[in-house]
Amino acid sequence: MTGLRLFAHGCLYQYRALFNWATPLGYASSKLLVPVFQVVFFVQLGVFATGGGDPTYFAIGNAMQVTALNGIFGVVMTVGNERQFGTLPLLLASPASRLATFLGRSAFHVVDGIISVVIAFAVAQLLFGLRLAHADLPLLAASVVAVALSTCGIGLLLGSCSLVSRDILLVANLVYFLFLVVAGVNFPVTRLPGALQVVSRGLPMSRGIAAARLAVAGAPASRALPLLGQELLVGAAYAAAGYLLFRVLEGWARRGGLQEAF
Amino acid sequence: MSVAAVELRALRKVYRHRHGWGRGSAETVALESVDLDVPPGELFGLLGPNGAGKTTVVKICTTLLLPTAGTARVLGEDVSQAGRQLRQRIGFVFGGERGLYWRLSGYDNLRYFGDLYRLPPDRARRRIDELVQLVGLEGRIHDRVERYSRGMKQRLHLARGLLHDPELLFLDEPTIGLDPVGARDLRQLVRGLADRGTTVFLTTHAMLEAEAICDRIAVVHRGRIIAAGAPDVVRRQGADLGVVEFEAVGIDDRLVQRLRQLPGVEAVQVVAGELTHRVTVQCPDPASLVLQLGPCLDGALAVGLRVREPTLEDAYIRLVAEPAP
Ligand SMILES: Nc1ncnc2c1ncn2[C@@H]1O[C@H](COP(=O)(O)OP(=O)(O)OP(=O)(O)O)[C@@H](O)[C@H]1O
Ligand SMILES: [Mg+2]
Repeated sequence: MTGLRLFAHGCLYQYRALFNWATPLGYASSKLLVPVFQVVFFVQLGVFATGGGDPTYFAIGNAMQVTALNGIFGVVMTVGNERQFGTLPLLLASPASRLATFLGRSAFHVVDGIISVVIAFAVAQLLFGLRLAHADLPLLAASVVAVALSTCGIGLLLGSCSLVSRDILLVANLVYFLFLVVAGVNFPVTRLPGALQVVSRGLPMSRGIAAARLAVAGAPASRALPLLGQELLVGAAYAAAGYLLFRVLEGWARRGGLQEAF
Repeated sequence: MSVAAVELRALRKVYRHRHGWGRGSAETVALESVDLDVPPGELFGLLGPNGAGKTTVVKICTTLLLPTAGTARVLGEDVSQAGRQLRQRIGFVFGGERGLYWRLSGYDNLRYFGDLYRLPPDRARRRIDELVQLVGLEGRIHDRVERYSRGMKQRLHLARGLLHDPELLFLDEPTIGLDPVGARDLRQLVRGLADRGTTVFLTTHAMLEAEAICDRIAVVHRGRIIAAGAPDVVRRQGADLGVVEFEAVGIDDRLVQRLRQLPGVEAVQVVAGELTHRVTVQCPDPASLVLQLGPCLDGALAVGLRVREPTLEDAYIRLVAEPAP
């Protein structure tokens, strides 16, 4: 029990230590405004392009994708900031469990991701009249949680890369926009050329979004649940790869291969 | 016989660095071969000029770097294999302002590191109160670190290093950037820790600091230990020499070079002052050197000339002086 408390405590301090989001203004701008603008922009565009069509498709896709803001940028910046503050060596030379530290880095971003999606859905409903009357809300909630978790998985992998490279935010940007293209956010994955469909299957998000669409349409849970299972598996695979890479790079750093790390 | 706190044997560290994609790599030999023993309970000082390898030794001992060859045993454990247990038993402070979360208060920084060192919350709170008193940060501990002066950050670093009550504390240039009073306070604090049983391994280039508080010192130069012992012993390694010291006006590189080449001169140090340069010359026979000075200085003016016994600083300067060409 104390172990769990220590973990939660550590997560909170880490989060506050590393982000100005922990101040009300910073939080509002990154957690409220960015998701709102993204949803407004793409839903508006989609409705316009389809000649006044149904906003639902665009609203669900973009609301779900907003999790990637936290999952990717939040987690990546955790490691990057640590390096910038010069606290990374202190962390690496401490007896703290690597796995707990590593998971702790993403815990708050999962929660944050969920909050962002809820806000995005609320905006879609207020401004565009997204209809959730037939929706299976628990299933929709499960889809949101699954995507928040799985995007953190890829964030952890990128975060590990940022141990070696200062330029990982560029890659993170790339991945974020890649999601826009391949994850079925604004158009179905089946519209993509074959190669990109393969990429889509290898990344988190697309299955979670598909499950959310099923949930909003009120489809039976038996169709959405396997998708969510796969979504979580993909996320876990990225997280595991991230952890392994972290350990490998830690070894490198100790051999003096990474000057920037210390 | 208790185990040594630090035991280095033929320790070697070579850094490899890439110049960027496809532009090859270079090597820096930071430690050539270092042998060193620090018994438990000692306040030990590692001295050396910039780039001598002091920080590298500390990083290896604190498990941040792996040696290229040789062994380093800390509290009886080989650092190459060591993990959590060792890390829990040692503390370290690297000089400078980095390594703190500037957006958190000093107190929250300590709480966070308390978590990393797995201190139960109530023990952490008590320990932090103690340490805040000890390092004299009462009243400011709830301010954000970004509002701290450099000295306050340094003291917070020390508190962080001591949080988990380590048996062995590494301090890499702990007084860097502190004013004279702050530096003296910190030295007293460190001395106090050692008197209460903590083994302290510190690095510095301030001779006075080493002389004032260390039980024993070693001088590292170009990756090797070139002298070791009690400060007095190291100082007396130059006892056969005397020191001639004077203020000079109008001295230049050519004249310094000529001084270096006078017979018997072992080391020449020139420190620039506002109007004059202070010149220190070490040689076995100061009296005869004084006689040779006039012709050698060639018109430059020497004032305030005196002959004295070498200090630890003189001994150090001679030890790390470039060999005469
Ligand atoms: N990460 C690194 N990569 C490459 N070379 C390094 C690295 N760290 C240190 N060095 C080199 O190793 C040598 C020893 O450096 P070190 O930092 O141990 O010296 P130091 O005695 O602590 O010096 P100072 O008094 O300036 O702090 C130097 O030549 C330095 O340039
Ligand atoms: Mg150094």
